[in-house]
Amino acid sequence: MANPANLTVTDLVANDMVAQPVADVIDTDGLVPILAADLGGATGRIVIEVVNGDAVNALDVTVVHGENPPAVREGIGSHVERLAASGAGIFGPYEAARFINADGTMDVGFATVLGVNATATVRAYLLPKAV
Amino acid sequence: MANPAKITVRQLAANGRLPLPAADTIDTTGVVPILGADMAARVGSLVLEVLSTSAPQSITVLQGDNPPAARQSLGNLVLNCDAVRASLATALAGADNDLVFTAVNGGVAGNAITITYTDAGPGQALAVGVVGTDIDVTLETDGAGAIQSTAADIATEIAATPAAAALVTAVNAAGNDGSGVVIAMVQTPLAGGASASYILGPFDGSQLLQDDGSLQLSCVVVAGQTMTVRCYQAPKAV
Repeated sequence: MANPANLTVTDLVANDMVAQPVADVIDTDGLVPILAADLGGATGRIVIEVVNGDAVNALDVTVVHGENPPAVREGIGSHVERLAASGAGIFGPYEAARFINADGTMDVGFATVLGVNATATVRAYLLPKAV
Repeated sequence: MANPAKITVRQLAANGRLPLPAADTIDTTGVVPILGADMAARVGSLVLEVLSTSAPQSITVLQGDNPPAARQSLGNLVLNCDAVRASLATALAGADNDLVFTAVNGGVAGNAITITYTDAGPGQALAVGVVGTDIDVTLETDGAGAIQSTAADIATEIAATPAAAALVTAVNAAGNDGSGVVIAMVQTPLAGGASASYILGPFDGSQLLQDDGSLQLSCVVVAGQTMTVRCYQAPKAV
């Protein structure tokens, strides 16, 4: 079992459509980054759909606070949400001043409440810069 | 059955989480608006998540009014939201005799369609019979019982039989020209039909915004099928 090296980011296109991408599969507790090259510093345009694949256990999803610099408001801390068993949520977008790392990445963590490995599917979308 | 009076807009939460909301269900061809009051006319931050159970199904975002849509002459924005059509590629012995049958309507319903080539003995004429979603092709034979029907003959007969043409189209398989005589084929279902999901938008208000601040979605839905829609709006600034 292994989580993907990074979350796949699907760029949305203004006045167009994209087929829903294949979801990244999370099968292990831990952090998975969104790469700087995929994010382009645009945490304010990232939206993350998470579906807890565990029908018994809740899943904690943590968008980890960034590093200062550049995230001057990182002291506010991480964004932690608990998804109920089989629950789903749409996360974000996020404030770069709080969540971006020094290398331009953003980290998302997955952990089950009772210590069994996380099972989730994740799709990340990046809205276009301006329409 | 009836469409909702409007598409529900869910506001995404900056630095937060929105529980996955219930979807609006479009089950009838017609226009459904996204109200200006629900999205403050900020169509550039709207995204639609659409699950389509059939094909051909589409959402056309109608061109806006000028003003405010100064670029409304660019016209409507047509977004085809087709489900995956089931298909069957025959693999008969012999050359140039294989066809690909494709369901006219997409989605899982197409997987119920079956094709049979029946060798009914000497002196038969080519005929296509349809019972429900079962298509039975009776092959033409000569007086000695030799099959005379080619793949091209069958494709033509399928197209000429309304009940069959309403279910499938038939074209030559890759590398086949249709000239080959077919052989009998047991009842075989089409496969691979499935619903499909799409992410639509965001949208250009200067092309699509109505003078009342709304977007107008003209939805085409196959009878008895649906498109389910979740509409999200990103916050103004993060």
